[in-house]
Amino acid sequence: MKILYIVHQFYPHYGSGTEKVTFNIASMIQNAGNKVKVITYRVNHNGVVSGEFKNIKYHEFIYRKIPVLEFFLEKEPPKFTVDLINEDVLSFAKEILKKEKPDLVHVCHPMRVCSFLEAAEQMGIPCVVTATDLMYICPKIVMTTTLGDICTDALRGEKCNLTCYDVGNRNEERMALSERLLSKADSIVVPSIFIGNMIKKQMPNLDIRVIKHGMDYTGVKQQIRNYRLNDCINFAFVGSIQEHKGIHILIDEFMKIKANNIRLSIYGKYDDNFGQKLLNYAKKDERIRFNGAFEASMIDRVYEGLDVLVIPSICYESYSLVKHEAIMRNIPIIVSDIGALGDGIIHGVNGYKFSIAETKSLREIITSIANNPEQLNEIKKNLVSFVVPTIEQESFQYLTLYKKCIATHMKGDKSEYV
Amino acid sequence: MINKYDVPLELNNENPITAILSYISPGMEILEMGPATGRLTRYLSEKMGCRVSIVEIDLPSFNKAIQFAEDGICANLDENDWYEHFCEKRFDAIIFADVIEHLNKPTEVINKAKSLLKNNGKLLFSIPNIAHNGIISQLINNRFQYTETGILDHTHVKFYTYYSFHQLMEDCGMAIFSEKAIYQDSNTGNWPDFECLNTEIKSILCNREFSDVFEFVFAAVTKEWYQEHEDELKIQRISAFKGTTAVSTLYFDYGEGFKPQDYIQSTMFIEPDGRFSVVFDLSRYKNLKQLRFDPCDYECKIRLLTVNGNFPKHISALHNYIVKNETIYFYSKDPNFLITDPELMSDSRLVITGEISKLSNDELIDIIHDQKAIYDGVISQEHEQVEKLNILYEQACKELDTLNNLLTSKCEETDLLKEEVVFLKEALDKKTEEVASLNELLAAKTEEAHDAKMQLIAVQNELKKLSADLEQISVAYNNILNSTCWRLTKPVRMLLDGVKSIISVFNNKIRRIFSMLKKTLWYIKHFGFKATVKKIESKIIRHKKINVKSFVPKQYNLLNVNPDLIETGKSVSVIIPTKNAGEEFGLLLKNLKNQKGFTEIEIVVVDSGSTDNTVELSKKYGAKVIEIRPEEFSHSYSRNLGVENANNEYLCIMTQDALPTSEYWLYHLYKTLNDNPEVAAVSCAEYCRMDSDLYYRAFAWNHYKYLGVLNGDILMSMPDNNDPILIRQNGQLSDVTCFIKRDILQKYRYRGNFAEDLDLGMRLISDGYKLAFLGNEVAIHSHNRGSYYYLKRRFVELVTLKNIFPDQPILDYRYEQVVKETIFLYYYVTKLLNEWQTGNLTYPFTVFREEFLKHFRLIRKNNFPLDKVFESLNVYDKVDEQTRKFLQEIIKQYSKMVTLANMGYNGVMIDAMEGYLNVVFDFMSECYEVVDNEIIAEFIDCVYKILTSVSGTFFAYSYLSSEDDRNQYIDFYKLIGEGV
Repeated sequence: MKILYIVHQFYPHYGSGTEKVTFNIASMIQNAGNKVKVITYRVNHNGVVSGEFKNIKYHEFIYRKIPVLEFFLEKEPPKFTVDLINEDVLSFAKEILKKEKPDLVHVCHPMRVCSFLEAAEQMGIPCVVTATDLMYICPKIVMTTTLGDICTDALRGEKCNLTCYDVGNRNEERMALSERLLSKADSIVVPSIFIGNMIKKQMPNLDIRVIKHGMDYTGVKQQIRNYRLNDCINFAFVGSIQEHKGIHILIDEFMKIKANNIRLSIYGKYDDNFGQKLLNYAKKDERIRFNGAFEASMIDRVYEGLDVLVIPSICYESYSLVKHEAIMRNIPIIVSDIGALGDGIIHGVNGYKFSIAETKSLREIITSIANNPEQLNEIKKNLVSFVVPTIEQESFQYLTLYKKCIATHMKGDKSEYV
Repeated sequence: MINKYDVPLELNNENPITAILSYISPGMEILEMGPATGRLTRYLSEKMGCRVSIVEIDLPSFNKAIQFAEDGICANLDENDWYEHFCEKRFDAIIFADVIEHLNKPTEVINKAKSLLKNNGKLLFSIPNIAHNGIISQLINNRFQYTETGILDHTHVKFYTYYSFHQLMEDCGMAIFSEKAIYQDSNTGNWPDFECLNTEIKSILCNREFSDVFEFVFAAVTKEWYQEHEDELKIQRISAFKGTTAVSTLYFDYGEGFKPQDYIQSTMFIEPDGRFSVVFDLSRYKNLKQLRFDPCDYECKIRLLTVNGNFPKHISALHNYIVKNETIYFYSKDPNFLITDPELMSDSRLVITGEISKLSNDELIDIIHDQKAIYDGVISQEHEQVEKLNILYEQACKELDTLNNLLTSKCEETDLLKEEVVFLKEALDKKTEEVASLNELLAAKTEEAHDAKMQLIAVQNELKKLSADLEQISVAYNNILNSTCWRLTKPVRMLLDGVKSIISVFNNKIRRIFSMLKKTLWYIKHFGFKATVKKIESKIIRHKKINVKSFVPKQYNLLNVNPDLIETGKSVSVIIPTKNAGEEFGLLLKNLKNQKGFTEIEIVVVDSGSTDNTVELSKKYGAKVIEIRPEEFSHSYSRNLGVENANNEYLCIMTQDALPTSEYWLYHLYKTLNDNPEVAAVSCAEYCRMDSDLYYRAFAWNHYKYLGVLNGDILMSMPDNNDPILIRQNGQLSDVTCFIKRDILQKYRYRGNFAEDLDLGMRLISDGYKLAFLGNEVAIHSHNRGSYYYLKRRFVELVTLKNIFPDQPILDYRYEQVVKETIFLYYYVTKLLNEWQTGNLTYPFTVFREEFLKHFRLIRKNNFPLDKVFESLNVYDKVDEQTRKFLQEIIKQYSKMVTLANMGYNGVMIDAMEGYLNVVFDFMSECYEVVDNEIIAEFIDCVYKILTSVSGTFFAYSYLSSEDDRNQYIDFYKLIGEGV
């Protein structure tokens, strides 16, 4: 079996969530005895070029055993990152698919490369689409309007024309195109129920399945701790210190609590304006400590030292890695009630949820834990049933899905080259 | 004469006496200065049981007061008599109630009194406040009017303010620890001078510290006592403001707007907590349309609570304000509200209550910042708008330019078209002339055509003649084909065609036949003719896969199934033998606990002496833990013990390092068993972990390819011909996962300490059961072991299999030969691999495979290396610590065996190794089209594992084929046969 993975950007230049997920799946599928190749876009146009096709340049290399083809348009049209289809990329995609002859194309992120999905569908190649975020229904990806408000419903693009005027006024067409592409795919996968629901709100006829992102358990230790009354509780925030992550709300509410047995550790870079402002603001509270960013190798030590992780985001999170990093270590979490953060969390049973509309509820949760740390024992006990899949489990689900898609696809359309 | 201070003792309201009494405890020793006629003296002695002494200057008063005192003296406090009288006594409290302002030498008196105090004794004072607004307003009006009583009592010789009395105490070494204030409002009518002041001055006066304090009450102790007991003392300070006032203005609008002259003013009373009320008399004003209420003349925050007793309505702030939490923040000195409620206009008075406070500088700055931010936002929006308009303007200009250009070009085009029309007209004239000449030409050509037609008729006649000739020839050809001679020669012609096609097939297959022939001869040479025939037989049979069927289990697409729909109503026990299972064991337990579809999932852990947290983790997840001693462990014993302790109908036997693929994993295994009643047990293939090495992946893949489960599931049963190799193939069960019914496993039980899973499987199929082996469902499981493990593993595997299958052919090989070949291979393979380790190149995989094998095959042409050259290679770097020690050990024996430089290689281990290499290459060809240095590095690691595997296999041959070797090297075989 040969699988082509299509992703908007990739290692070694970029290595955040989607790239990591793509790499993990491709590696595992390759290890299981299949050929794989990642097709991606080179955002920074510098570097070696080994081939040209019309006004597209490309280069092939191997990254940690995975073959990669990286291409770029010499001159990118306006709104290239917003539009789903680009004619130049489409003709390049057809050329590449003819050459590579994949058994299946797996589109991991559509930005800049969605034309490969169109090409594969036109050529009758089986396609799996993973929507790791909301790009298929939101030109801004994060469902936040130009004025910074959270958008709950794109109204099939009609609303985007009004509230996100900076991405043009043809969003209804974009939504229709997106729906056509997705409905022709053999399978649509999302990492969280939230993403699935958001897409279904716009495209109710789609059949969407959830495969959670797998996590690397190497070196991960279950945190076994028994809390007693008056124990000191270390709350923590881990992530990028930006306004939409809601860290200011956490600090503000924490400072209002007059308890001596609580601490707040903040991990993340804080050298920009917002970070410095927060640092100055929190200075007067000695219980709050800014620890800065940490190396990936330190992650286990960081989690070992904290008791409760707080994720107070005020924007949609499609699949919070820190949430799952905490849960796989059996560390209780407090999350805001929007996006995928609340998926699988039952308030007061296996974690805590607070309303971003009423942030004092966050204060009340922290106060309640400070007054009665023993409640964490029950939360930790119940958290055991929250299973975060491993990378192997995630990739095997994809492998099963690929086989099924290829088998059912072949019964129907024949691809151009078969 | 009645003393003017002989006033009744009033205990029901706040006055200096009640304030002083609050510091007195029953039974105290008290010295009361200036008691007048002794009303307080009496209260103290009779009601509170205090022992009171007095000093009074006025004799008649003294005579009355002394009746209630224990001791006393009629004396002037400015003199010394009283002190001499009491110098031997010590008091708990000395009271100066409105006394100190009558003394000329207050410092001396206080110092003397201080010396009469017990250690913790206190001085209690009440003093009128000379800085009261009433007095200040007199001074402003240039008056200072003494009175009979009060602050300006004409007998007062000294005057005190709050701070001046504090200074007096400081000078006397006393510390005031508690103070109280008695207020008298300047607006009460007692102070006509105050009433006359203008509102601005009134407002300033009212906002002074202590401006309404009529009298202070102080309690003081010695400084020394204060410093030592500061923590115990109840420190009490009075507020500098009792409350404040402000002048509020109400402007009227009679329907023509607000005019500067139409207003009334009133005093707004503000409590210390900020609550205020203000009353306006509207009885004289009629026909009011709307009102403007200016509460004060400073920046403030206001919350209106009531207007004429009702919730404020039709009232709104006018200018320079922001609203936060229902509070209005005015950031100018002219706060004002517009009142439009028509009901209020006809009322005779307007009463407004609410909360007010001055804005602090910080608050003011914050608000200004907020406002600035808002305006900045507005400005930036405006800027953006302007920019957008600019862009639009520029675009419009550009469009205009474009249109102008277009117009110009159209004009040019029009000119060109005009020119073209002229040109075309000329051309038309020319063409008309041409048509005339062409007409002439046509007439000539018509004549030519007539001639050609005549020629064509002649050719057609000729063609008819030729057709008649062809018909005659066809008849002759058919006669030949139908002749006896032609039919008789047909087989000869067919034979010639067949020979041609055979030659072409032979050309393609001849190499394979030669290769098979070569292999067969090699096998005959080393294993004998009989074993070779058997091998060929089994190969043919195996190819047919007797009694192995692929099948498609039902309901396998469970990716999005509602867990409620797959409820089996059954319970399952999972049995896991453990020893130091590590942190990841928790993950397995967690995954097992969350399996869907079963009523109960019981986990039975049989632990053989873990020293890590395996047992603790198991108990945390509610597993039943059976602990055995390490020496009790065997694969069969542990599993059988687990079975005995399991309670459920279905069992799943697992290893501690396996992991389910999903929450439906157990359900899949159950479903296979349940849907196929003839199946006794279900196993599944392994899905390698992320960190598994190439060796493990390749041989796992090869094994499942051999079983036929790479892309599906199989059912296996006993082969009809009882061929042991086929029985082995069809009896596959896996210790990693074995799902089985409890009653079956209780009957058959596990046996032996190696290959116990295979043994069980073979017994089950022998008894007519079927086994299912799944490839569509798998267990996540793999290892990343060092090369030495594989040496031991292959040794033990072969020895055990020979025990189970005595017919298994064994190569006759001797220990010394294996040692020699092992070292030979290590030396030359390392040399070869070193050549592939340099550079950062990529190769097409097919090229890499071909080139590597070409050079590998050439190795056999070398002589055995002498141990000296061996040291020149960094061979030991590529293997694990145990393999390194093993090699160092056998190279000592090797150096004695190989002493000559020209001993040629004469073994077959290199052939076995090529077989292993081909398995790995076959697997790699499924994964890689191109290889780079990282993939080659992994391949190199794999090659060393192949080497140890081959070495282990051949040591097993030597062990099995030679009794002499078995006896001579018994320790060596024991060493490599342990711990697998």
